[in-house]
Amino acid sequence: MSTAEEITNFKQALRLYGAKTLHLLLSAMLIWLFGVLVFIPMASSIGWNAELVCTLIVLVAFTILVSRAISGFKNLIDTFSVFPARKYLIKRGLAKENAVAVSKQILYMLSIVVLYLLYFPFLVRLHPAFSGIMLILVVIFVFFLALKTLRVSHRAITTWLYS
Amino acid sequence: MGEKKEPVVKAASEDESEKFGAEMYEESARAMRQVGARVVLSVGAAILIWLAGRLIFVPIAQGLTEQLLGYPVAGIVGAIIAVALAVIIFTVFIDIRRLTGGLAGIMAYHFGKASGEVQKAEYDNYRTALDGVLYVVIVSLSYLLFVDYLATIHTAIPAILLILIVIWAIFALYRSTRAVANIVGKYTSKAANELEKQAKKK
Repeated sequence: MSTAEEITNFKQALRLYGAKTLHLLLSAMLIWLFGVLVFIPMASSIGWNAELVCTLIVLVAFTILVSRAISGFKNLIDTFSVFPARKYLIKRGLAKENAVAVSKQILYMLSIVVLYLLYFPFLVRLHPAFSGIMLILVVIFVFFLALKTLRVSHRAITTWLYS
Repeated sequence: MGEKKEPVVKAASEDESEKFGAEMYEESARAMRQVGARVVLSVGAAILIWLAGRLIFVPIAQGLTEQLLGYPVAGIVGAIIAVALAVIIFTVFIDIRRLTGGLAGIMAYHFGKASGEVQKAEYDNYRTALDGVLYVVIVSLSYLLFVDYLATIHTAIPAILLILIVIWAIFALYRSTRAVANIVGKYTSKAANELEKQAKKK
């Protein structure tokens, strides 16, 4: 794929998903901020059952918004990953396809870790074990993503280490 | 309350844009003069009523064992103070809407000037975004004022009210961010066009 095509793809993704994804993610962020910093502490001052209900309401709203934003966000990441690959990875000797794949996986990993951190306050309030279970799942998922990254980039890494 | 004037928003040319900016500053200053002092006084009065109720009237009422029309006196005092606070908060809401109108105009002018255009839609978007977030903040603060008095009426009321506020806030914030996304969406499509131009140059 040529540079012009890559840019056209990113532009199309930005046009198609940019505004909608941004709207959903901004809403999710604002609801998270108000929920975690304002409403849930208010509810906890009333009692544990009010806290639980408020946590569930905010968690459901946050989950709906994030799940609706995921497909657009994934498309944006997929089309955007070409740029960091070109800027940082191709220069270090990776083939273009591999560089794009590595950059995509790294962006996925970052997104998953950030998503887990956003869910953490809700999960801890529901039950501390929930956050532990989720952390284990996230670690496993990130491990597989990292494995995929290493599979395509191990040659470049060893070359870089021996150089 | 002063005469409510919605700012006339047009623009495109630089002169019209400057005129719009001047109009917005004027509107904002007028709103500040007309309702600024009243907002401060209303908030001050609400805090004083809250303090007097919490430190004087409710403790006195709680010491009384008599009932009025079958209701405990503390509950009735709490309800009266809650109603008084509700009236004050309602007037503050109306005044704040006036202030955000001017502020949104100034924001639309400044950000629009940077991108070379000031449009009615942009003004509406800034206003919706500001209104949404400010309303949620004010309602949350107001809830903190009400919570003790509502608890004296019935312990379940603050919890039910908070749940309703949370549900309302979710919708209000969703609406508010749609307006922000409209504004940012315009910039992202411009950025995409810019990117395409740069690619063509290369």
